[in-house]
Amino acid sequence: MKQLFLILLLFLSHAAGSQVDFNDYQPIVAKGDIPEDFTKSTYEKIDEGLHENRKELGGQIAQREFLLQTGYAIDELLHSGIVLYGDQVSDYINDVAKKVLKGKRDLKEELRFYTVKSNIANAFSTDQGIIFITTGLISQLSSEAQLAFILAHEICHYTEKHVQESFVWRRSQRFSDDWLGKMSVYSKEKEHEADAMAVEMYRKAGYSKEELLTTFDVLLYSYLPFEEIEISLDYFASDKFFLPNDLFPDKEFEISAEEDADDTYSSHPNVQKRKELTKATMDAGSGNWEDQKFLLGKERFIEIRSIARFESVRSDILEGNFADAIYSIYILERDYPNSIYLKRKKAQAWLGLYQYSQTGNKYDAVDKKSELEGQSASVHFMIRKLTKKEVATFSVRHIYDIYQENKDDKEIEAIYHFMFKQLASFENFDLDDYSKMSFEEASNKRLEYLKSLESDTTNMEEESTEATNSKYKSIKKSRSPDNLENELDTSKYYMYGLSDLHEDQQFKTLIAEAVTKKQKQDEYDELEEYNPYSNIMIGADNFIVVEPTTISYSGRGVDYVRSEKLEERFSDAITKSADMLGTNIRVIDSRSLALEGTDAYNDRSLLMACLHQVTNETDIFPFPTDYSITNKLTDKFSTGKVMFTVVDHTYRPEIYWAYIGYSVFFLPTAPFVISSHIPMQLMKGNNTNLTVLVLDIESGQVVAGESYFYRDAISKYNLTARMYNIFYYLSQTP
Amino acid sequence: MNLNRIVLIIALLIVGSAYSQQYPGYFGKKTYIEVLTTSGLPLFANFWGCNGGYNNEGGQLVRQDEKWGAPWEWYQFGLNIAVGRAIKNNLAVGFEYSRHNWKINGPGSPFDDVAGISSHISVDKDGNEIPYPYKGQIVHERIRTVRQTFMPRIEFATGDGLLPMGLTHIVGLGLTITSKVQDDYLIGFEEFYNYVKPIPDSVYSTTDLIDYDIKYKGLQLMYGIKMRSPLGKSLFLTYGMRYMLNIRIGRGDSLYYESAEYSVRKFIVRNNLLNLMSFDLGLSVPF
Repeated sequence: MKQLFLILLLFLSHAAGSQVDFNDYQPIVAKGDIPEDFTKSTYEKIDEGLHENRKELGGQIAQREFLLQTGYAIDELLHSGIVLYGDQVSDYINDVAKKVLKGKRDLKEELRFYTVKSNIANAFSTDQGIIFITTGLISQLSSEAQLAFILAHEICHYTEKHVQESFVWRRSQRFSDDWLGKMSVYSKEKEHEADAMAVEMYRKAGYSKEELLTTFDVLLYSYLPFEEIEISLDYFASDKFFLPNDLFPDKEFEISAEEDADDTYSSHPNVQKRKELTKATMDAGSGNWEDQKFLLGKERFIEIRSIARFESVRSDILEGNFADAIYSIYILERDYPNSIYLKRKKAQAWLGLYQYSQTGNKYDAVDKKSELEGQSASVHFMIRKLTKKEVATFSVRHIYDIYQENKDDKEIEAIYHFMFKQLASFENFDLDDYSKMSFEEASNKRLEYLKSLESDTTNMEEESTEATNSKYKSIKKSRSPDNLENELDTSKYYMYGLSDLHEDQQFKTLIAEAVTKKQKQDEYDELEEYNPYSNIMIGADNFIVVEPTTISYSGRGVDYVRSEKLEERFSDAITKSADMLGTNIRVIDSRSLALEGTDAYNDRSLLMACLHQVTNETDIFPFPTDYSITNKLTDKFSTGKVMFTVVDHTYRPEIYWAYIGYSVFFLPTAPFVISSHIPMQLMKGNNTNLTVLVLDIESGQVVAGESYFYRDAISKYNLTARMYNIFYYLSQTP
Repeated sequence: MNLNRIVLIIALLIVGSAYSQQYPGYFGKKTYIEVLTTSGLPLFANFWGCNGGYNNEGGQLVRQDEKWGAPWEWYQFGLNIAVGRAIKNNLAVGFEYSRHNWKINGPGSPFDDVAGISSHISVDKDGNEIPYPYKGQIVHERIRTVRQTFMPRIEFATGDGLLPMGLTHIVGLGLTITSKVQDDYLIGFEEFYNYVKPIPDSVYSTTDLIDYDIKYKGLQLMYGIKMRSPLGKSLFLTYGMRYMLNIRIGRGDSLYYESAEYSVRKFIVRNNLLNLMSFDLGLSVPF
């Protein structure tokens, strides 16, 4: 009995542990042992592939070409930090795959299913037996059965070796006419084949016949947000923030996707054709159909889909798609109104929009006018319409309100403080420009004023006194939103949107401090003498070093094998140079992943996301999307300084053959020109760019960043000396 | 090397040190010593016939062009020792001493200039007496010369340099002193059909023709480009090339235009002037 109780307790604790707390949502991370797919170097994989001698691809040259093309493309994705294994979503995908692969034990062992954190709804398989499913696709699904059919489809691509066949076909057809058209036809045939085969696999698993065809609807409309729910302007307004109705469109924006879209040059057949063919296959089949939409349970599906939707918000913030993020948050808040995670992301979205707007990049965060579709178009429409001043008001208003309601939350507090820095930085926010009355109060006072005009003559006297003031005061007064003589202008609604902030002394102090700090920084920047290393002098000697990005070009473009070997050499150079200078570093690269496993992988993924966010933005310093988690890394590594490095190298001597040609005509200059020009150019042929970027994950700011150009080769000592130099300057203060 | 030059080097290094406090150098090493061999293909000197003349081959004076078909010399070698100090990532100062060796045409003298030897040499190759006057001249084995250069220099790197490592451009202005190496050169009498008969030392010696104490001074303006490729933390393989302009300074003693010393001076000055380029290869040690 006692044992039974213990088992029950363990089961309950596991069940409780597996439930996701969406109110305090934490982005999903990889779990369990790190698969070899992530730790093995690409050239090792290629060597293994060549040993297998896959004759179906052709000769050794063709095999090598295939392995290089696919190997590096897949590994680029595997190393990007957006692929997950062992997490709740990947586990779920694996569990659904097990249902689909019922009775196919060998295939079950062969295949690996990974989740990709991306808002693009997609699934694809590789010749290596890896099947990737994006969170964007999961977020769009309405049943487990739909996922089952998608997995079955991808499994069929793998079992039928479509990737390899496609490669062989492309090689054979590369010089033919209308290559693209033929490729499209060929590709569509393979898609039909996979659809037809998947039907049987899906049926055998026991999923619903009716649900199958709805999968194609998911694919057709996956470019839209994950729900089509009407959003009201009231979502953005409050009693302190009046919004005029004309901010929202007076019409609905139609959805343009058609089932019978032209697919002449498309890799996939249109949905109508896919539905027809799949239906025909279903009808032709003789097996019995069961009627299950959820073999693993609806609750689990909803939970997994919610995770994918929360991840969708995160990805939107990371990519700067702030309008989409706001709409998705609106949808999710209906189910999770108390989610602090959504509040944080909402504050981040408004902060990002403010930064984009002030730097003239607002339109990067919204859809084009011609692309406005569905319910979310209202949000895009409104943001497109807002002026810089209006966006500033919206952002301050919302971030302020979120902060006031969640003062204890460290991330929201950090966003709030970051906002002041940005307000000071763009130099066009002045609280004095705003009315001390809300729109409603101003409206009431105006009414009172008009009434008093009719009954009280004392106003006339006041006016007379005012008239004696200077013309400048008069102009200012006439423009003031608080001037009761003016009609209330709804187009100036935003001027009444921050009335309560006038009474918040802390707000005023924070903005004054930020402005003073900015002025001091400007003065310092003006005085600072130019030094190519001054941008990296930050007085730091403790870093987390993320795996360097290395690119080695050969005459035919990127040489992936050399690039990968360069990465190993450069990683060694970083470690050695830091050791020599006594700089503490913690390197997170593919070799450390093999030793330290999933923890290191997750740290690396997190930092890669930070880098992605920073490098994605050219004009602003974004607030770190994963602020709460990245901050934990600071404690873990005793530093918040994360170093990213990029090295690209090419050896391309610029020999001007024309010089040599001319010199031959003017003998005896030829020997002199040849013997001096060629050796000199050979010596100068190395072109190496080394970029160093140090991100402070506590503040989310790039604290050091510079690119250096060298004529050196990329030998071990060259690289070590360069990094020694960089670590030296990083440890100095200007 | 005299005391003044040592003082100059020390001064340069002190100045360099003062400026280089905020610069780590190559693994903390900013000073370097460099030993290079320099070699060149004296194209222009060959073209203008500075490198012809007679070689001593087994005690016989043989015309250079008899062997090669042209008065060509294929290589010239030298040694270059330099010391320098990087004061910034892309700037260094230094001093170099170089020693460049080559042979110049030996001076020729008309037979009638050489008094008192006709009785000893007025025989043809078959031992027959030759009547005076005779068409021929005194010829001299090619003379070895040494050009020493003392040169302060500045190095700079374009892009984001990291001196002393990497690609560097060097500019210098130095003093050159070219001297003749005294040796037991062969002297001969060349008859009209190019047969050369050696003249015994007891009869006529090289010191009768050439004054070895006379040295020729000049200025050298140099631009070089070099690559210092690290072989280790304390060693570079250094290679590159240099362009030079060597010009004579001072008029020197006036010499009779047909005298042997005049001929020697002409070839030294011409050789220096036409020595425009050389390749460097060697090692550098940073410390």
